[in-house]
Amino acid sequence: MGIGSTPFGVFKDSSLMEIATCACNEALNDAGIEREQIQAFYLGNYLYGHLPSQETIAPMVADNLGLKKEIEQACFSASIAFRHGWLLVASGLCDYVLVAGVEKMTDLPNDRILATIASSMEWEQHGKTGLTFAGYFAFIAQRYMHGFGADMDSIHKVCIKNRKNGAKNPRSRFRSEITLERIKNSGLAASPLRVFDCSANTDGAAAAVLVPAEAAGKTRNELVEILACSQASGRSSLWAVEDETTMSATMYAARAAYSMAGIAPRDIDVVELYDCFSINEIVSSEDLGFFKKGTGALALEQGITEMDGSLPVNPSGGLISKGHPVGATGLGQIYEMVKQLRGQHENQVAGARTGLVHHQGATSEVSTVTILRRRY
Amino acid sequence: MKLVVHRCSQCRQLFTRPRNICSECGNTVFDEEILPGKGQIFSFTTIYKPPEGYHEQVPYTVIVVELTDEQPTRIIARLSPGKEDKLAIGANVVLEKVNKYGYFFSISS
Repeated sequence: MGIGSTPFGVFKDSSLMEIATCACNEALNDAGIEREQIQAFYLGNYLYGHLPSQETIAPMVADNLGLKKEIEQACFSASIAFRHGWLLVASGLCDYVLVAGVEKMTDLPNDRILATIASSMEWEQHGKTGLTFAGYFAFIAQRYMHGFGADMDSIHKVCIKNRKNGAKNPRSRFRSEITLERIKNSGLAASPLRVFDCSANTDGAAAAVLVPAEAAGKTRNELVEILACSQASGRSSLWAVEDETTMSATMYAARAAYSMAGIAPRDIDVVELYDCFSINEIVSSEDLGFFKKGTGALALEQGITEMDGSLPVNPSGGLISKGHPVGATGLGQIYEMVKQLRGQHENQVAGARTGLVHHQGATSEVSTVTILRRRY
Repeated sequence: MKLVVHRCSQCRQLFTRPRNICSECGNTVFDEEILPGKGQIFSFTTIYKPPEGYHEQVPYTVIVVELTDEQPTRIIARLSPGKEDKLAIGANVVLEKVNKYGYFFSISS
């Protein structure tokens, strides 16, 4: 019923508490409800326990917001926070739930962030070799090109498309387009992926207020309904699976979501998916059921996923353009999709009514898929 | 150099580290074996943006090796310098050494 978000970028003068409170305030105001009505609050964050070593931040943000003291609270990452909030409302336990995600990471050294994020990987088999997440996805890119005859030029097109889309989005960290030439002349992160193929460590916060459909009131005409919200796991070591270019968690979560919503991939008008790295947009567009395995790069080349194509993907600019405040991204994606389905997005897909939001965790061990539909 | 592995006594799946339970079949009995340490490159990447503690090694190449065995098993390892022009999916590799960064393979053909 309500959404809020800070822009995503570099905020030297704002603290994590400040940006989280900001996004939550906006969501509460957008929902038009009193903060005393909130019965549960879930806050997503990834790094704060590891790096500045600040644990249990949900109660602190709740305090800042003036939420009731006795409510249920927890810390997760944003998409898990969203799903737990949805579970509370859908089960009938709560009528008003505030979910949020926040990350403040640009004041931390990049290599320490890389090391912390890499700690999500299994150490003995993966991490101690010095493998980074970019390296993990680089493995996938190599296998994808080897198996399906694509090349890096077509994979880089994800960056070109998403930066072009993000240029129109005031919440995007990067507001300029980039050319293939500039990408190819830039530095490598983990070959064959260049720095531009990787989403950037960024600050940001986003929030949403969830209510039961019946309690929302008949006067509001901006309701977006959650038709499905599913979560699934895949194998922890991609190299233990047969098909190394398939994210099984994404596939299982998508199937469960379509089944829950009673729709098929062709019924989706617009997609916000998890382009943590350019190759992941291509692979995910296949695993979400939109294109056959191995044809996602071709679909992009043909313009199907461009703004004027039949299935726009990441009109917000995605993680590539907005940046990736890890614990907040999931709700940032929900924010962008709700704006789309309300018909209010700066990069509006004409007539968008049903949207799919896809999020992933770690090296894709976990995936959440949410299907949303405009209610009016 | 030889490679010590742990093989499930029931389904013959290989593991490079000791296990309590076989993740394929649930069996709890394993046999220690010595493999010749040969395999093929399944995928590879050279790291230019390292995590904390790895700067001095940049650039370094991390590979996925598919070990040659009745149960082809893939492991993540490092590539020793040399024969970079032969670095490709399918290149033959052989285990050279093991240290705190893991297994080091070198290209053998």
